[in-house]
Amino acid sequence: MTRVLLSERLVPNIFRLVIEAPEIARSARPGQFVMVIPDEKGERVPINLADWDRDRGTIDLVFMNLGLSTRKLARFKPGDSLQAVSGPLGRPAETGRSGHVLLVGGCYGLAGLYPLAREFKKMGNRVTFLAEARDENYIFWEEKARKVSDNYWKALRADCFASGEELEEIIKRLKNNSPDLSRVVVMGCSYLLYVVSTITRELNLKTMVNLNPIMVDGTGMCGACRVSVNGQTYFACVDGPEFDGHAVDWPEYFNRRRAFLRQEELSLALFLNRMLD
Amino acid sequence: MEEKTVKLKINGQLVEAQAGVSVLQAARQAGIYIPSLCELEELPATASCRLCLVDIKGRPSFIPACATRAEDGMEIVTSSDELEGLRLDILEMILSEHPYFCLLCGEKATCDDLKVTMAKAFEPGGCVFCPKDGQCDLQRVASYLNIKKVSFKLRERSRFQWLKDPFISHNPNLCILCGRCVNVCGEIRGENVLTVVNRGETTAIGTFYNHPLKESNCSFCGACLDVCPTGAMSEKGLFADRGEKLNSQELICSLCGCGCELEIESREDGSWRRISPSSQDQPAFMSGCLRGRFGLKEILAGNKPGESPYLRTKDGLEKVSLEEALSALAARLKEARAEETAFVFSESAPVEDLLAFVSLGQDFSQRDVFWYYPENFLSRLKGFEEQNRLEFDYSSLSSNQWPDKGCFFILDSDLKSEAVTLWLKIKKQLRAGARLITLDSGFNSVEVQANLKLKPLPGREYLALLAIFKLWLDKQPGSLKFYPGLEELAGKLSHYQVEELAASSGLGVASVEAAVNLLAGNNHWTFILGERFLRQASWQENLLAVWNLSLGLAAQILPVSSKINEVFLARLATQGKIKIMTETRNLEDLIKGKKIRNLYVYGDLPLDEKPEFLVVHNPFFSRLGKRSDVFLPASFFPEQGNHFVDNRGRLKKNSFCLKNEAELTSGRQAFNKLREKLRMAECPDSESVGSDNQPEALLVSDHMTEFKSGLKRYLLPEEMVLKIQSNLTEDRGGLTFGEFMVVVEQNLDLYSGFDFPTEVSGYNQARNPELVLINPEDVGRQGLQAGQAVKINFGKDTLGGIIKPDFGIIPGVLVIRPLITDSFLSHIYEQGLVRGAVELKND
Repeated sequence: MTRVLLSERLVPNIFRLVIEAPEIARSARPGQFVMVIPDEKGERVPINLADWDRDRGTIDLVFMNLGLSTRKLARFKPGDSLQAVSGPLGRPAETGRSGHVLLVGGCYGLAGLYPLAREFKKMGNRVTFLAEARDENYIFWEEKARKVSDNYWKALRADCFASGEELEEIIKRLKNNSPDLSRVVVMGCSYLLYVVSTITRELNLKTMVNLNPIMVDGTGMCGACRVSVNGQTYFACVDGPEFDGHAVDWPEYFNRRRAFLRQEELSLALFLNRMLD
Repeated sequence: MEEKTVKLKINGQLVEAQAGVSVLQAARQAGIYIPSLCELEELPATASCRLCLVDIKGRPSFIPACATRAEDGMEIVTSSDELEGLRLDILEMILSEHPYFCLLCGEKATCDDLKVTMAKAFEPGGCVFCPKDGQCDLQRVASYLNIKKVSFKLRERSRFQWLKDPFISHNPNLCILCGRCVNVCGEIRGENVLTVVNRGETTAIGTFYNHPLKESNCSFCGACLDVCPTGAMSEKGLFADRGEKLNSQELICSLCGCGCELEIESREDGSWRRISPSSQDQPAFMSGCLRGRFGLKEILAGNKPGESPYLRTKDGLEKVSLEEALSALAARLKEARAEETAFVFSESAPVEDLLAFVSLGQDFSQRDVFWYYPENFLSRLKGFEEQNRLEFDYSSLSSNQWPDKGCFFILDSDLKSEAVTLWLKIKKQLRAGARLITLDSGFNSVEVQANLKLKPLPGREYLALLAIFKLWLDKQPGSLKFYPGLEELAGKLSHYQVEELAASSGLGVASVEAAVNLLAGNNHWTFILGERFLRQASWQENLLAVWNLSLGLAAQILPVSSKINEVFLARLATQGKIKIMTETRNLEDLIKGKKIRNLYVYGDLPLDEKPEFLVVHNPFFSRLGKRSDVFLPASFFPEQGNHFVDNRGRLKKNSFCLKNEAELTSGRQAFNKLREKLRMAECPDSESVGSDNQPEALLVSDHMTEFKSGLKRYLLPEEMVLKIQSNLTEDRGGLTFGEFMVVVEQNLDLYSGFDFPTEVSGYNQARNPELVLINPEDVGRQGLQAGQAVKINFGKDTLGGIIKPDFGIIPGVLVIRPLITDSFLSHIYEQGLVRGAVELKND
């Protein structure tokens, strides 16, 4: 059992839990994730490590309240205990020295990219953080991210209507203004990963995407999270979650992600009418 | 009546409209669109969205079309640069608090395909994955106004969603405060649960003290879901359709006597997405209730009826094929002696199947075929008429319209639960100025809407009616219709004072006076009788009192039967084709005495004693089914295109037919197979119901609906007079401290053995059959607390319950609404009123 120390709603749909997990905090590396089982009957759900505090022995989980398990997680209050948390899992992100790095984050990725930004910065890179959201109201951890990045940009859907720049234009402008931009890391919804990969392919910019396929055990046993990259099959849990965005088989990836959508909806609907406190 | 019309000009076009309609309605009828977000047909206008502003010649400013009556000679302009500009400004202001990305996002085209999982998001907002996307009135208006930008910064209100209620959730962050839900809740449904709370920028939709709906007497009718223009009020667990192909079909709901038409939205794989009342003939919010809308969906999602047949072997019940089950049944029936075999059914199957069962029972057994009918309602009414050689004026039942104008006197009927469509029609009349009196000794959810609410002691309804009659005689004897017997009646009543009668009925004289004044001051009264009015020991006195009063007032009688097919079966019973069984104790005695060894139950029966051989034939593998020797699955109403008779005696055909994966599709087929095995001739005539040569009228005619103006005379309350005297000697009906009069109310949440509160998740939060309603005074007096688990002691038997204080209950009375699942409950339900004592539960 793992104690929850803090629970908060950051912006609509995005929640943060701070939990007591000294072992995980001790060995966590940027880009890794943990496997969480919310309650006795809960399924395993992979959540990115958004931050950790080695001294206090805590980790930060930031997730989107989307399905049954995350809905359960969002209901946790300080003092409650999660059934189980295991990790850190997955390979840490490649955070070597590469000059100028662009981190594109959306939704939970705004938090998930924070440790990467911190690491890149520490390694002496120039870090540009690009937050993608529908609107200002959906952006969080801005101050935190600004501290570990050199530039902080926002690509807002709301701006698009008010003649603001679109994601594509911002990335192109950054590339033009900064020839040493050599690496893009994207974290967020699958759609953002796909869109950014498409944009950067034209610009010939190396792009790493943090995939989030359906996962069961997270240790390479079940194969539920397999993805095709460069025509080869990889397991996102042990070979990833970071992959080359230009090599991922996107149609297959999107298909696999929605494989159980109907069942997920049904279980969520039953849960919603049952849990009424 | 001649309908007045007005002539006006809209955008230069000459428009003729009915007098009294609004400018917006007149324009709509003429095919002229005026954008609006708060106005809906049937709903009173609130003019809260201000989008329907129009320019009326001669008026100093722009005026909301929804709240302005169309007048002769008006010249109206609905669209001009200035008006559209104003509307755009208003829409932009509305959108400054409502996430609007669904309108303007450039990515929308690809999202459908690539962001599907977002459909489940906790706070759907401003995206294609909003549950209302595509059906959103706000989107429609925005597209009409062709909005290109929103000049204001979006204010994300971050208010908490309502998640504590089953079936209905509210996301205040999507609410545009149009007020439709508040309007429909109070004005149409008469619930008064939703209201506008707070002021200024914190204004929101809320409830009294912001209690969850389940603690606010919400009946979960779901009308708020039908009217919400955005996704603010949404059905729990209903997600965006994501451009799926959806089929829509109509279905007659037979979960109660109303027979509402439901619309079922199903996906291509056959799964049901949503059920809502049909909006074909009237707006969806004008019918339907929680059972059909939310309960039915879950039955089919989770507890699919039509399981396999079962056969009892040494090792218990085992799944077998239909052939095996029928063979075993036929073998047993062949050996069985006809007089030791009984056939019993409940009303929920289609008319055709019921007839086939009756004919099977008659052909096989020497005993009568029994209909389990604990209410014994229409049959008692008919019996009373025959005994006294009179006929009530039922014209309000037979006419194709429910009472259209006039006033209503509701007797012991909780209409919202027993016949919601009737209630909605009455509520509409009330809005138009009709009057309502309720007289109810138990719980009545519509009495808060009444002009006068009378709460007599349970079982003393007739005394209250008599007191009203007596006072009338004293005050204005000439105004009562004269028929034979009036003088004798007056003579008989002259021995009593109004005060006496009122006091012994539990009412004050002031209430009686108010009732007389209301009755005298208005015309066209309809007396609406609930089944509880006749399900008590004093039912004959009740009927007599209501007969005299209705005769004197030339009022109509409207008996409200609450179960499907009840009108039809009562007719069969009157013709002597079936017998009525009101409780199961007699049957159990016969079983115990080995007089009945074999029992065939079609439907459900609250039976404790198991006969030697029990056959249960039911859509659901019910409590009784699990104890049977042979269980045969019957089809469930959404699975068959069959006929049902609703509470107005109308034959309704279910054209909808769900694909049935079970082996058999109808009871008829099973009965015919059984007949084959028993070497009996095929069931005659069972298919002919509803065919062309048997129109609706035939089904209902000779039973209840034709008023043949039978004998009209006042009836004399001989025995009642004696009863009054004996009652007067007792205080509060002789109840001692701690003792209560327990009113056992009807609960329709048990349908053919399917128990909604247990089987449908969240249902018992909306309607809990364990609640014991009690006056708050009694709660304190007895040292009880709200929510406390108690048991009610009925002498030999006890019943568990949970205390719920309710001001609608009079002191000294408990109201329970149990599901009739065993023979003890069937026994007390049949009696209607029982004595019981509340005891704390020691666990």
